[in-house]
Amino acid sequence: MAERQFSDQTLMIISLVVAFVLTLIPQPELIRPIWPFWVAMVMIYWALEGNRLRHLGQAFVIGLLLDVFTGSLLGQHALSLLVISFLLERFRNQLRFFPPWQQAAAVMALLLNDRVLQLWVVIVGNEPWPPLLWWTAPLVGMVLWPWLFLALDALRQKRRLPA
Amino acid sequence: MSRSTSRAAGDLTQHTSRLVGYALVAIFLMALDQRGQYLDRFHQAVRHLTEPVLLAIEAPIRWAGAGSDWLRSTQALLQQNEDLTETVRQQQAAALSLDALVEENKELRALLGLDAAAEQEFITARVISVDLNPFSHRVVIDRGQRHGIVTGLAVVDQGGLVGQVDTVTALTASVILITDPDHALPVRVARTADVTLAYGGGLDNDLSLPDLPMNMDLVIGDELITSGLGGVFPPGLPVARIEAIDRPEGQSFAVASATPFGQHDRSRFVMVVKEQRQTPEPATETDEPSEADPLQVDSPETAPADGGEQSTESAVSGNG
Repeated sequence: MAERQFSDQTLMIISLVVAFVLTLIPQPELIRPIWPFWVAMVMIYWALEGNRLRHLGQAFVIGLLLDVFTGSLLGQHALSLLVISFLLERFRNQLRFFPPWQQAAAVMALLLNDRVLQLWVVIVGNEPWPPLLWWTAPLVGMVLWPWLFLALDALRQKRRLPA
Repeated sequence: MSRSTSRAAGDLTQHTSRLVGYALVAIFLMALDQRGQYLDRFHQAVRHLTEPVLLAIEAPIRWAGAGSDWLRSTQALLQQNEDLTETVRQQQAAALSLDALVEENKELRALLGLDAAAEQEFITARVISVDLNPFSHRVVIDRGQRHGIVTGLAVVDQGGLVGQVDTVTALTASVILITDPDHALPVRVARTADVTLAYGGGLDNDLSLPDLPMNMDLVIGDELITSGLGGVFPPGLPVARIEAIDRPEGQSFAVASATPFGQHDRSRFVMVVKEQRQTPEPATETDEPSEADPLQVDSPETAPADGGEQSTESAVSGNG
């Protein structure tokens, strides 16, 4: 049991690191606006399925780290991950037992809500409106969600076997 | 904030109050960050931590680039070499005549009693291809303190001005782009020598000139250069070309937008302009009070002469 806990923890950290790298990795101009919010998706997975990262404080700290690395306004991603974490916890029981496609739709709703929040920050910060394509990132997130879910689940199963 | 309590299912109010608490902290941080210099030191400190991570993420991509260079055919490389040699030859010829002009300019300045123009040194830097938040209007370059970069230096590419060095760490520096909405740049219209300020246009990748006098002589296609006022940017660097001018009825100022010559989003290499001032200049276009003539200055009353000149200049720009 302790063995499994440890490797789950390791896997969680690895997946977060990978999400950070995916966020920072240089993207071609074309796909930049539709690049999904990887860190949020990984956090959603662990909160829903791994029973981890469920505390608001954890979401806040991860968000601050993301702000620091991406050179954003300090607190921008912290706020958006906070709100996602809150909504996840609020509707956790429903979300957990949704069929996969419905869960993917819920994830899209969370990410879309996040975009609205980010838009608010961006406009208060005196920036112009982002391009229309910017709104498609949650859709991409929805398409990728089942695969992310399956991949992380498979990795966890594999780790569980030897224990 | 009691962490010990295992949260019961119906404990929504506590959860909500914690959300509000954290959210207030986040909004407070954003406000501090937005409103200027309170978090500068924090950003500077944190950049030292993020620097190795950014370099590590970028390394494989750089190696991939080097690998593809390796795989390119000799034929293509020879061709490129030939093209580059030709370009260098042409530019050397152009530079020769420029040298003569520089000499002539020096002599004329000496005759007029002006101090020598600052000599410029260019430090070439590669833009680290790490993708920061598009709203941050920053790029990271691979030259830092070790290479003599300091905060405030102008950054140009082959087209023109790109930005200004913001925070510096040992091996990298972050450059704030002139398209940042918080960035104001003193510019001069090359044709008419009118001076004004160009603000960043944000995501649109352009500059906006929101406070032009209504009757200002400005047409589409006019080129903007740095004016050198304020003393941060060296004068005469190409900045942008006017794209549109709007003179709204009933408003007191005309608005123009301009497209920068610098292509920060496409250029992989930039140059940091390092100025070497030879004399602590007494009365050039900088705002700082001069420290060079302590003998002349016997009372603070001499200062207005200098300041008056400044204000007439800005008044000229204000009235068009």
